[in-house]
Amino acid sequence: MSDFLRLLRFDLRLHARQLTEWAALVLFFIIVVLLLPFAIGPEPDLLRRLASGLIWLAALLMSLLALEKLFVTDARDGTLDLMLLSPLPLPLIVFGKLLAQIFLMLLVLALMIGPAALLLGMNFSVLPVLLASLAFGVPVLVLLGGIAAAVTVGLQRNPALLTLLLIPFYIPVLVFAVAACDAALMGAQVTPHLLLLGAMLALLLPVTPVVIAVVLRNVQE
Amino acid sequence: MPFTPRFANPGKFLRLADRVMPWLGAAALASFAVGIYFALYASPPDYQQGETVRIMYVHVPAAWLGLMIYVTMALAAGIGLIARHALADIFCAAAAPVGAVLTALCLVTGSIWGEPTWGAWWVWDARLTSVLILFLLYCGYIVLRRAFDDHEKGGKAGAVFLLLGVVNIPIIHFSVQWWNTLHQPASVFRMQGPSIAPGMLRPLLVMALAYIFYVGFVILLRMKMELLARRIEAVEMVREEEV
Repeated sequence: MSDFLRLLRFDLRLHARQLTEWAALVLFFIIVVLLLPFAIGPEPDLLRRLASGLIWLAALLMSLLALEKLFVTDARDGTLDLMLLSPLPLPLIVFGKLLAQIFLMLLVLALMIGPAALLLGMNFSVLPVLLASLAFGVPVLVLLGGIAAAVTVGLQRNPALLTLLLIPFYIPVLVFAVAACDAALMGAQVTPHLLLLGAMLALLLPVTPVVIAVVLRNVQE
Repeated sequence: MPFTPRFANPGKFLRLADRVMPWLGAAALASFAVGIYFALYASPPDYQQGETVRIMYVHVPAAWLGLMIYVTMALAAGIGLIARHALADIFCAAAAPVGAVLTALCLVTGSIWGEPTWGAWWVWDARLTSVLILFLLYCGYIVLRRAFDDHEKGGKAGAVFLLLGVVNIPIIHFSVQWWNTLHQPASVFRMQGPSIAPGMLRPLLVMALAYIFYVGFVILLRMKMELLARRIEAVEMVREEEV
């Protein structure tokens, strides 16, 4: 357990020291949120209606950007080989990396969600539901993205590949998350949608590190 | 070995394929001839949809086969991962483009039918969206499979992807029951028996048979080509090493 905590601290410190990575994510998120009103028109009613969906879209695109690098730098500098050789169980190491990534993404979102909600004139009664949907949904995005990143890590960089692999799996997450926010806006039942998101997370959380470990061992040398 | 790999020997498989393929091809041609005749001339127009119902004879079998091919590929991927059957990956690689084309055909014909019937080329209904996701899964698999130079690694990565994508299959099948959708509910494979008119069911089943024969023929052909292509690759590799 203490090994795991040390690993987690290592991964978190690694993220914390890569300021460009942070800044790129924050910038990307806010640029998407800033551009969307220009694309669909600035009518306050329209934006209020679409705000949660737009924020979710920005979060989804941001996670695609972030996950591209999940195992690539490790593969390049040899960390991945050490991970494979380590006496610690590989799923545990992978779990630490995923957890650090989830933490980073949620932190970035927590920082940016306030300004984004203000910019889009979001209804504040929706905000708690949006936060809950992000808290359940973003880890699901990272876990699914981790599998895709592991599958594609040995390949020549094909930027479209990761996106193409992930879109079929990201659509359901987006559907249920936005359905929860819309339900809050309309005053309908929110919990069923959030529970479905939670179920996805509960299913993926224990399985994903094992799947990624198997993929890394079998697909990579 | 839990699965006796009787046709894991590529030579044996090729001989079997050569023997079966002419029959499959002939059966496909014959049943297409009968099926298209009945679908286009000798079946009644629908009392609501009129003549546009005839698109159904192309659309529905394409949807069934698009789904079935994915399920078979996922099964093959599982067998390939567990039993390391040599032909499993060959089958997946050969079948994926066929499934993608059939799913695309299903989407396109559905769209052509939807314009006069629903008044829209596309609606974001659960059935349509989940079939679109199936098409994206096929595309993702094909691109992923081609990104690997090493067949063994590519096969394993592809198999993992295929197995994860299986979650979409029950969603497609039950989408018309779970959600209140524009797409009509199942009328052939139902617990209470088919509710479709017999005069339409018969041509539909003949068309479905024709699709099955045709798909069997094309997949066997593509598997043969894939096997031969890998043989050529192996021969060239040996020759390079000798030089």
